[in-house]
Amino acid sequence: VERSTLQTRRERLAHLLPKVGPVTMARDRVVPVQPALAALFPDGGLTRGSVLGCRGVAAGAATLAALAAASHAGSWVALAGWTTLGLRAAHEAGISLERMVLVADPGRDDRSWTATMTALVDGFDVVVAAGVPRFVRSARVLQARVQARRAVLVLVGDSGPFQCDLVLDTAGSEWEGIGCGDGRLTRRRVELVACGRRVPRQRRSVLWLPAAGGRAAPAIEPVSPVVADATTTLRRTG
Amino acid sequence: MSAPRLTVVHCTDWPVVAAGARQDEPAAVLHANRVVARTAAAASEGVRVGHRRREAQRACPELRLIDHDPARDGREFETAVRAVAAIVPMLEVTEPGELTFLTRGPARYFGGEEAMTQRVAALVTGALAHARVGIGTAEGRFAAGVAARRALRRAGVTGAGLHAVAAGTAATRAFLDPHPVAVLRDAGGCSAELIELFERLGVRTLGALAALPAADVLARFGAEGAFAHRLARGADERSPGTAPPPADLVVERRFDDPVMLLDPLAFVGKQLAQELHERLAADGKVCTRVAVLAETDHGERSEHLWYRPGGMAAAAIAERIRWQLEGWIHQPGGLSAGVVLLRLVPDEVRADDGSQLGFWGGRTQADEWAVRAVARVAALVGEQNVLVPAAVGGRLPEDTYRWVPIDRVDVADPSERLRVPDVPWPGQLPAPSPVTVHAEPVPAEVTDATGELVRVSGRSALSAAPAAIAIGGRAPLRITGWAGPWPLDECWWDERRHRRLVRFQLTTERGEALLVVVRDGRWWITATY
Repeated sequence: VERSTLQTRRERLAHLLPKVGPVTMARDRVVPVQPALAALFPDGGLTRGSVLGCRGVAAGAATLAALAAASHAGSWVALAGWTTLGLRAAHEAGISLERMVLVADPGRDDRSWTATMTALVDGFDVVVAAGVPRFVRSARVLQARVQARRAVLVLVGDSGPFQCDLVLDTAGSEWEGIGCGDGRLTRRRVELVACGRRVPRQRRSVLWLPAAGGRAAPAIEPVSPVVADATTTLRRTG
Repeated sequence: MSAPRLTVVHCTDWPVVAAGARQDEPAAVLHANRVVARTAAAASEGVRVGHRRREAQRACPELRLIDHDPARDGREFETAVRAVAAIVPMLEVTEPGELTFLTRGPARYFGGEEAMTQRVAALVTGALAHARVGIGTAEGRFAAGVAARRALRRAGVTGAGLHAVAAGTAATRAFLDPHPVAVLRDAGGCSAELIELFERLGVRTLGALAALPAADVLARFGAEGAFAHRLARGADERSPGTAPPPADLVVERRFDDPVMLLDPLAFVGKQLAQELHERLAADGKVCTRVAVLAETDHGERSEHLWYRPGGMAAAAIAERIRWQLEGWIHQPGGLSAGVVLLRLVPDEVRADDGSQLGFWGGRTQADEWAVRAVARVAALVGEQNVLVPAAVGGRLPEDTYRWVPIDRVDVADPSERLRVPDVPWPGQLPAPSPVTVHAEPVPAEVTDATGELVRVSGRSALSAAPAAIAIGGRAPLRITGWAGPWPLDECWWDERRHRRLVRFQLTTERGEALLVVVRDGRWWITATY
């Protein structure tokens, strides 16, 4: 008798769950990124409620590239402490400057910093913090808030005590167009590596970041040495 | 139906008067590199509204340039508003520099229109020493506005001129007909593109426009064209959707403790504006005219009407409350007691067809939330600390856009602050631009292969090819590529703003690219790509 009541209760619960649980559509769960970067993200875009870290030489450019599609689609981007951002570069990367706000000084101690960041996470789809200050200790509260509010938090540079769900790191960076006394910087080939808590395998992508004009574009893979070796062995046997 | 008889007081080139410039001194107010107002002296030298900075300086090299500040315009105009409010019970500030009131009441009290307008002229010129004022009386807001601009011809370099148009629709039409269509832009708020289109099509006067059939004008030029046509015919300019608001709609806040300071009042004003806007928006309405009333503990009152034909969003109402309160609280002598009441009464509402908000492809819920979030964050960290981008224009990466505090701009309406003037900046480095622009340039030392400091001559010739760079006194890095020199010599006519430097792009062995300038013989890193 006991077993059957448990069974019926379970069934009833299972029946109720879809009615009371929050329904999320796939497109609501993800903030879109531009196609050039999509391969780096396990969900094909920025997962709402997650924390993204951008590191390395191209951290700033990678952040702008990751947010361009979201900003263009109508999301607001709030920056905390990123006063050195070159606005022209942001504009060239495809960010809509009319939907961008900066808090120049988010706070000088743990409490005020967290309070400002919480207010930003409450109000904006995407919040970018340029470096987490040394004094920040309690990251869990804010991280829970990001999850509850279904926002996206991007940490450029040092992520401090935060647990990033995804980290975009710069593996290689090479500028083109510049010579010795001639030419000018035209584009940069960057290898981005995505890893993190929820990425089973590292994902790699070679990009022009920025491509000519300032946006991001996929770079065609150079002939890798492994493939070159394979052809030589084929020749030998043939 | 004949429109009510109105009197318009128009101060020409108000922003430049508000900035404290005298009419005999060449000065101009610039916004986004364009002249928005200039003094009589500058006008006689050939400086026109709409000129670029350089064009204006070419016309008049000793021109004093003043930055545009809408808050200053609103604040300073309060002096004139107070002067006229002494004899006119209810007046409406259309914009800083222009106010409107019903002619009938005060005219009867002062024994005729002529006597009344002369009295108003004396009050306004007494309050504003350096202003050039036109006072026009006619049927309808637009005709009165045109009459006020016409009256300017009778004013001297400073002082006031009067012009009254006889009563009756026929007289109004006869007055309006010979005016060029450009007055639709100046007095009617029509867009410059529409006026230009009219002119190109050969419709050069209001009479020619009014002679066209209304239906054809609507079909060819859309809603804005129909509006212009209505103005040109001397008809009531209010759009058909305008209606008196629901009688019970009043938002107010009473303070138990009288408030003496502006900032908390302006903050409450913002909340009230938000509340009013939301309650109207729930009915799909937007406020086109609102009465703002503030009262102190001792019964001192400040009550004005504010009008904006396109309707006012919460931010626009809040801005006007701030202008009114700022001028009132900081008036000479000040207030004898703190403010105990702040009240907003919508005077005229219309169906919200979104005409005011259509600048950037419509407004979404996310924008509405974001604007509110901006206000919340500003309350937490201070308005000076919350910034939005604004277009400036210039040759260096840090010059193109600047961060401006949100208390100086309308966050909800970015069309103006981000409007990039369609002017080339020769000498600007092409895209891509640096992602990081250092707030303070970082000192560096660039040396050649032998370890000698690389020098750049006055003719931008290098002493040797750069080979290594030491940043901020650290160990030198090898330079893998370099481009330049690109010299820049700006504002050589102005000692304070003169800038002479040479730019280079460098890549180092660490894979980073730097924008480096040489200024007065020293190397600085100004940006990182």
